[in-house]
Formats: sequence, structure tokens, C-alpha cells
Amino acid sequence: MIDPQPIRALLEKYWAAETTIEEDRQLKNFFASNDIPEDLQLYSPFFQALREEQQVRMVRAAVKYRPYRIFLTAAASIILLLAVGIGWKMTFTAKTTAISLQPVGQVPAQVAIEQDLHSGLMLAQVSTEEKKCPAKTGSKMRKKTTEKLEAQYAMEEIKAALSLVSSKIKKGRLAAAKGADHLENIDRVFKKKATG
Amino acid sequence: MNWVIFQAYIYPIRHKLYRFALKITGDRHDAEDIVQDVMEKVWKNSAESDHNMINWEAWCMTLTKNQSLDKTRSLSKRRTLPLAENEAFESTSPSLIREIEMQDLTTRVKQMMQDLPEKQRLVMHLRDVEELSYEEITQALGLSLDQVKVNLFRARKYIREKMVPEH
Repeated sequence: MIDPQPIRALLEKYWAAETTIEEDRQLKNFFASNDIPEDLQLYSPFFQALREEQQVRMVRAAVKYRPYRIFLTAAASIILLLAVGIGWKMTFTAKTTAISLQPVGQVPAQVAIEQDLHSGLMLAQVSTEEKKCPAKTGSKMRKKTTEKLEAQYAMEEIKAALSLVSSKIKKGRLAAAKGADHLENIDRVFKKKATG
Repeated sequence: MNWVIFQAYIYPIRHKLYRFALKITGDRHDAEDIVQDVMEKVWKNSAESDHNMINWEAWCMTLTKNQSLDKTRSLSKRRTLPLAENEAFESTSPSLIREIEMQDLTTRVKQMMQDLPEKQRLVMHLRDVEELSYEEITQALGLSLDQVKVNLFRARKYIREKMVPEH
């Protein structure tokens, strides 16, 4: 049980409005305990009232327009733009390939695909295959190759988009780490002040 | 306003501001509206003012006090105890008679505190609930140090006399 004598003296000081914040806290802690002498119990409701008031919390979000929403909106916009861009590019590529495939087996068709899809290796492979077994060549094989190229292209685009998003996230993490460091510094200064 | 400053000094004191607004208006919704308005106002504060600011908490308290008083005056609201405090009494377990009695007395004390004259009420709240220093209270309420001390003394004296009539 806490010695009530110093508490009584502190209480008198409190009513005279001469206590420090630290002394006020001592009183609040004392009256929050279960070992209160009978003659002091009449003050318990007062300190209980203060404790309850301190626990009141705001339920609604205090900030209507959180600044980080700007970053979320920007990130969402980038992703949306990328998605539209990829979709458009893929449609455009498919059209180009389809048109260029019409004169099957001719050089201009290969050039068109080569330029557009940057994948000469695969076409060279097709040409080799054509030479090896000309019966199997033709539209069926070219179609298969085109599908492969389209898939490869789409994969490259997705990779590029993901790496862009990843770089943005990295940047964000760096900024957050910087902010955390700054907050730690502030906290350290406060602690130093409090102890010193 | 710098985001780091806002996160470090302003956002953490939202509950304090809310309690202070609630103390003046006596209405939870009004208090929440006031805190949101204050936060928005602080956020829009120019970077130049940020550098000159000495005590963010005292400044926010001043803004909250002014907004709350404006709202109270414009609506001519009668201050009442927040509803949740009465609800807390109702939700107390009926089997614990002692606890109920204690809660009843606590509610009465809160009402006594609410009945104090405005300055005494606000000074007592900032000191005893929010644990602000005298200097911070003088800044927040625009009172002199002596006025703050006198108002705190009178407020505590009133409460003590009400609790212990022989004093």
C-alpha cells in the first residue's frame, strides 16, 4: 500500500493550484489504485472523472482529405494508363501481324513482323523450319509463331509495367524511410529535452 | 504545411482537440466538425508560418477554442454532458453496487465541472485533462499567467467545496 501521508500533503497543494503536472499525475495514479484510505475516498470520483475525460476519443476520421490519397490516385492513374497502353499496343500489334501475314512466305511479311515485334530470332527459326519441311509451313505455322511472339511481347510489356510500378514503390519506401528517420530524430530531441 | 510536421505534431493531438471542442460545445458531432475544420485550416497553413510557429498544440487549441465558441454562440446551444457518459452509467454491471455508486458520483463531478464559468472550465480542462503547462494555457486561451492560475484555483476550490461541503 502506498504511504498516504505524502499524498495528503500533495492533495492540499493540488487544491491550492500549486502542483506541477508531474505531481498531478502522481495523484491521478494514486486515486486509480484500489488502496485508497477511507478519508480520501471522497475525492476518488473527481479523479475518476478526469481519467474518463482523458479517455474520450474522436470516432470520426479527423482529416477529410488525407494527403497520401494524392499518391494513391497518382499510382492508380499510372496503372490505368499502362493498362490502356498495353491493350492498345497489343491490338495494334495483332492487326499489323495479321495484315503482314497475308503474303505468306514473302520477305516483306517477315520484315513487318521483325520490325514490329523485335523478334527476328523466332522468324529465323520459322524460316529454317520452312526449309526443313516445306509441307508443314504455311499459314498454320506462321499463326502459331505469331501467337508466341504476341505472348512474348505482352510478357515484356507486363514486365516493363511491373518494373515501373516497382521503381515507384521503391521511391516511396525511400521517402517513407527518410520521413521515419526524421521523426526518430525529433523524438530523440524531445526525449533528450525531457531527460535533460 | 509540411506533411512531416502535420504527422508529428498535429495529427496526434486530434483527440485532445476533440475533447476541448466537446468541452465547449457539449455536442459530439459539432466537436468532430470543428476538429476537421481545424485540421484542414492547419493543413492549408503556409510553409512560411510553419517556420515561425513555436507551439503547435497551443495554436491548435486556440483555433479549436475560437471555432467552438463561434459555433456555440451561433447556435445558442445549451451545454450538456455528452450522451456517451450517461450511456457508460447505464452499461455498468448492476451487480456491482459500489461501482454504480462511484459512476453516479463521477457523473455528478463531471456535471459540476461543466457548470463552472467558461474560463475556469477551460483552464481546468487544459490543465487537468490535457496536462498542458501554464505557458501553453496562456497561449491557447489568451490569458495572463496570473489569470490562468487564479481561474484554476477557483475551479478546483469550487469542485472541492461541492464534493466536501464543510470545506
